[in-house]
Parts: sequence; C-alpha cells; structure tokens
Amino acid sequence: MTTAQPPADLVERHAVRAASSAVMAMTLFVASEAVFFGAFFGIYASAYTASKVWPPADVSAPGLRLPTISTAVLVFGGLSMLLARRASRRDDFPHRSVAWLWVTLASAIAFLVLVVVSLPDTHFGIGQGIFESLFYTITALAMAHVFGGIVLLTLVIGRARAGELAFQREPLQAASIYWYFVVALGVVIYLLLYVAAAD
Amino acid sequence: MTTTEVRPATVAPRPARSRALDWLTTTDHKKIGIMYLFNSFAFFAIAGAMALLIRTQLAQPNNDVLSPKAYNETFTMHGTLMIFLVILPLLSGFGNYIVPLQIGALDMAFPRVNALSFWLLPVGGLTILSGFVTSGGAAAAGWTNYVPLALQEGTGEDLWLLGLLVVGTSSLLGAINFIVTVLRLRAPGLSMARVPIFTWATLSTSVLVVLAVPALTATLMIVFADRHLGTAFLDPSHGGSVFNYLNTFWFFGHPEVYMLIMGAWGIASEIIPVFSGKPLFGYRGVIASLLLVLALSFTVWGHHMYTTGLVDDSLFSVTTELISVPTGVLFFNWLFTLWKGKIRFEPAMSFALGFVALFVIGGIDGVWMASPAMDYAVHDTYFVVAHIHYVLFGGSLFGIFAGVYYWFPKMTGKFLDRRLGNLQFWLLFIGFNVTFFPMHYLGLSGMPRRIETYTASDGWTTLNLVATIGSYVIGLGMIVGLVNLIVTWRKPRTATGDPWEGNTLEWATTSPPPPHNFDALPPITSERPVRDQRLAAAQAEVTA
Repeated sequence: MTTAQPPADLVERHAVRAASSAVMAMTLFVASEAVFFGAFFGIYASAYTASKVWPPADVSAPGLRLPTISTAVLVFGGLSMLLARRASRRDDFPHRSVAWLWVTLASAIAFLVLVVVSLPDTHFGIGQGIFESLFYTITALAMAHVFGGIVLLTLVIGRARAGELAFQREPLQAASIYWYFVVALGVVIYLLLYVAAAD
Repeated sequence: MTTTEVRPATVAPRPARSRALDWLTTTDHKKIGIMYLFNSFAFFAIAGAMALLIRTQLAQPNNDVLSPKAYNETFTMHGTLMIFLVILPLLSGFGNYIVPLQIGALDMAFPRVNALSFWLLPVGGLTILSGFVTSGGAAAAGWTNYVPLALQEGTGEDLWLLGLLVVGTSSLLGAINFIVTVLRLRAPGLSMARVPIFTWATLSTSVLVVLAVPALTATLMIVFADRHLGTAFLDPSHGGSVFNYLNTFWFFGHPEVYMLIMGAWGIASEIIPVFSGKPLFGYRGVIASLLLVLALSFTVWGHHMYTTGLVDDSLFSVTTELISVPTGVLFFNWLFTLWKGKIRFEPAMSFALGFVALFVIGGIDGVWMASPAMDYAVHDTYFVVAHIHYVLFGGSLFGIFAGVYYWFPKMTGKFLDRRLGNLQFWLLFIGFNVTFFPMHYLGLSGMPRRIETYTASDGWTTLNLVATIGSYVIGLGMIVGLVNLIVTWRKPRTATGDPWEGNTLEWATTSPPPPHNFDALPPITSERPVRDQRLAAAQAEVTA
C-alpha cells in the first residue's frame, strides 16, 4: 500500500464540496419527511372519502380560535426565518440573521405552548374514531417536528455566536429549509384538522 | 475550515491505536463498507439457517420439527432479516466501498453519518431478533406483518416494529449520504453521463429509499399506536380500516423490491462488459431504464392488493406490465454486451450470467402475476414464494455473489480461489433451481404460503422433498463459499490495481486502495476512464 499523500487539489475540492452539501442533504431529508406525513394525509383522505359527513358524526369539532392564533404565530416564524436568510446576504452576516433567528425560535416555542394550551379544548379521546386518532397522532408528530426545529435553531444560533458561521451560510440555509417545511406542514394541518372539521 | 481538518491527518500520523478500536471508530468508507458486508453476511447465516429449518419442517407431511408457533416465528424472521438486514445492507456495503472509488472521491460526503448508518444496523437487527428471548416469542406475523395478526402478537412484535424503525433510519441516512456523495463529490470530468452503472444504480436505489422508507416508518408507527396508544387506524369498528395498513405498507413495499434489485442490476452491468471484453451495450439506455423503473415503481403497489377488492385492478395491471418494459430493455443490453464478446468464465462472470438467467425467470413470473386473472389463481400460494426467491435470491443474491468475487481483490488485494468459486457457483445454481423451481408447481397445485405442514393426501410430498434436498445443496454451496474465504485469508496479496482489466475508476488505484483512495486520477473523458488509459498506454507502446 502506498503511503503517498492524496493530490492536494482533490483534497481541497473534496473538503469544500463536502462542507457545502448540507443544503442538499436537508432538502432530501425534508422530501422524506413529506412522504412520511403524506402517509398520514393519505389515511386522512381515504377516511374522508369513506365518510358521509366530515368529521364523522360523533366528533365534537375542536375550537378554532387558539389553533388560528398558533398557526399565525408559526407562519410569522416562517417569515422571520425568511428575513434571517435575507439578512445572511448582508456584509454583517451573521449579526442581523441571528436576531431574526431569535424571533423564529421564540415563535416556535410560543407555538408549542399555544398547542398545549389549546388541547383541553378538544373534547374527544384518541381511540374514539379515525378522525380522533389522526388528530392526536398528526398533532404529536407535528409538535415533535417543531421541537426538532427548536433544537436545530438553537444549534445554528449557538454556532453563529461562537463565530463558526462567519464564512459559511449553509447551516443557516439548511435550517431554513427544514423550518419552511415545518411551517407549511403547520398550515396544512390547520386546514385539515381544524378548518375542515369546523361546524 | 474543513480543509485544515483533512490535511494534518496526512501529514502527521495519528498516535497508534489498537486495530480493533480503529475499526470500531472508523469513518473510512472502505472500512465501513467491509463492516456492512460482514454484518450482513452474519445475519445471512442466521436467516439462511432459518430457511433450512423451514425446509426441514416441510420435507415430509405432518412433520413436527417446528411447532406451528415456532414455524411462524422462523419464516417471519427469515423474510425480515433477508430483506432488511441482508440484501439491502449488502448492496449498501458495496455502495459504501465502491461508489466513492468509482466517482474518484476521497470519501463519502458525511463520513460520520455513514458510520452511524452502519452502527444502527446491528442495533436494529438484534432488537428484532431479541423477540426470541421474550416470553411470547419473536414476531410471527410474516415480513408483511399484516393486521389483524400484527395487533394480536406479543412483545416480540413490538421489538420487530422498533427494530425496523432503527433499520429504516439507517437506510434513510445512508441513502441521503449516497445521493449527496454522487451529486457533489464526483471527480473533475466525471459528468453524470459518464458515471458507472453501479453508481447510477446505487443513486436510484437511494432515491427510492428516501421516497419510500418514510411510508414504512409511518406504517410501523400506525401499528404501534394501535397496539399501545389506543388509536383506531386499523380498527374497522371505529372508522379505521385494514386498507390503511395495506396502502401505506405496499406504497413502501413495492419500491422496496426495486431497492433490493437495482444494485444487483448495477453489479451485473459492471461485470458483464469487463468479462466480455466489450463496452456495455447501450450505456445510456441502461440509465434511462433505471430511471424509468424508479419512477414507475411508485405506481404499482396495488398489484399486491388485487384480491382485496380495494384497488382498481386494471389500472395497477397496466402499470405493472409497463414496468416490465424498461426491465426487459436491461436484459437485451446485457445479452448484446455478451454478443460476440471474448467471454472469460471467472466466478464473478458465472454468477453474473447466473443472475441474468434466474432473474429473467423471476421477472417473467412477475409479468404473469401482473395479470389479475392469473394473480387471483396463485395469490398467496407457493407460486409467489417461487417468484420472490427467483427475484431476490436468483436475482439480488447471485448479483451480490458476483460482486463479492469481482471486488474481493480490490478490497483485500487477494483473489478468492477460482475452483472453489466455480464449485460454489454450480452448487448454488443447481441447488437454487432444485429448491425453487418445483415451488411453481406446488403453487399451481394450490399449496398456500406460510402453512407449517400438510397432509400426504394433498399430493405435495414429492416436490416438497425435492425442494428440501435442493435447499441443503444451497447450504453446502454457502459452506464452500465460507471455506473459500478462509483459504484465501492466508494467501499473500497478489492482486494488481486492475486485475480484471476493468473500466471504472475503482481499478485506477492500488488493491486495496490507500486510506485516501487515489494518489492520482487518470483523465476522464468517457464512462470507461481506466479502459481508455489502458488502450492509450498500449497504443503508445505500439508507436514506440
């Protein structure tokens, strides 16, 4: 076996390209997440088409007020993420981006709190029927994904504050792709579990 | 930033560590690839022993080698291990070792994620197997885990669900890593239209994993939630439906079949040209076929559900017949590559040709069953068992063995023994056909899948005995393979960098390659850079 060094240009190229692959990896991960939630939405669709009325007759529809507020908070967090990405193009990066990331993080936490607060408004159990099962399962999975977003945002903010992001925007961009997905998911869930089920 | 992390490693040697620790903590794609192969062959031995138990039980009518419960556990674990912990990880093992070499990269895009993907596998596999030590026994609902069976099982079923979640996570992380590696880390000059077919196959497989495995994850969660959280997804008395299970499971399940075969197609497409001394016929046609199969594989899942009355049989029949077209194109590509070639019958080539011969039988079985009229007749019979084994054993595993004989010198610098290799090939080829061909007739005469015994008056005795004898021949073939490995272990390293006169970049470095893969890369102006280099050198010699 040779002990020679690898060609320096290959090492350079490999290092640069591997380090800038986070966005592509996150895009693929989000695609897989979309299929994952798609499976539950598929079950929703087949239950919806099989049922004469929606939600099924015995379901007392969950209230709309708090979920509307929490979804608005989530969408607001999506906008602040958009602004964080815009700010990442400025020369003072990551200074202003981090400020917007804090806003996004706060909105994510506020969303989780609002969802937990709104749960006592739902007057049904998980096993009463297919709508109820979907309601709680999808809500729990969405909350887990928002929590995942909180972890991701905290990591990006931490790295930015430690000065590690001075020359690379990929971690922020990757986190934003995940967060846009979570926000879009929140809106779809709001429409399916609350608006479509409202009296 | 990362550059400074990579360079010192090549300049300043690390302090010496024990060899075992070095393997356990490695992020080198080559070592991880070899660990994938070792781990998968270990599970292969377990799952293969289970297959022999199944065949022993079925050798005679009213046999009682296994109790009905033990029989159910055994065939469930046999299928689960072979599909999730043997075939796919074996292909991932080759992918790990070979893909970065074929694209002239120094490693995978995310080496630590790569190590994680590997280490999740034994964890998941052992979780699944640990069901055997619970009081209720291991999962016994079949690899398809149909409800309501899956809802009635004990703790073993929960371990099965959790283990598969872990294995699925491993596949997903690995697949994302493969896609990013192939798309981002190719050597200068290696455009996508010059990427070797095995790498294309690994890329296609990875896309399938990313878009289909999450459906399996959802399916596993639904079953777990119905079992323990009291949800009603699968409970018809509360608005749920078994349809929810079938749909999500098979949306994953049919692309899964292609995840298990595309890598073998890729291996055959590498080996057949090399040992025919010709370029692959229709390189671009092969890529187009792979991509068509990839797209169509998401449209055929309903053919597993013809007899349920829940799907539009004619729609899924058409899509299933359609997918046989690009698959058929591949056969013609392989055949025309052989045509007028200078064929060298090394064990790798024998296995690749065996793969073509057996996979065409499994493929034709599949085309028949794509017709609902035929499927209604043979659904859930041994005809389906014959089909799945012709595709996954005759197809995937013969391809994998071809890959073992082909790439072993690259991985170790040593050649597996040729005579033992040929002996193993013939034992497997004959044993395989003796085992599985009769199952077509057993299926046509009505023998259902998954039954633990039958009576003499059923008329299935002779063919079952023949199949069992065949399975022992297969077992013998596997032992010959193991002996070959042990014999070769002691041999000196004699393989050059390019022992087979290969085409692709893995042959442009030493055998085994240095930790950084390449000291230098040849110029890349076609999909066969190593062959181009060899021809240019020969030309230079002639003119000199």
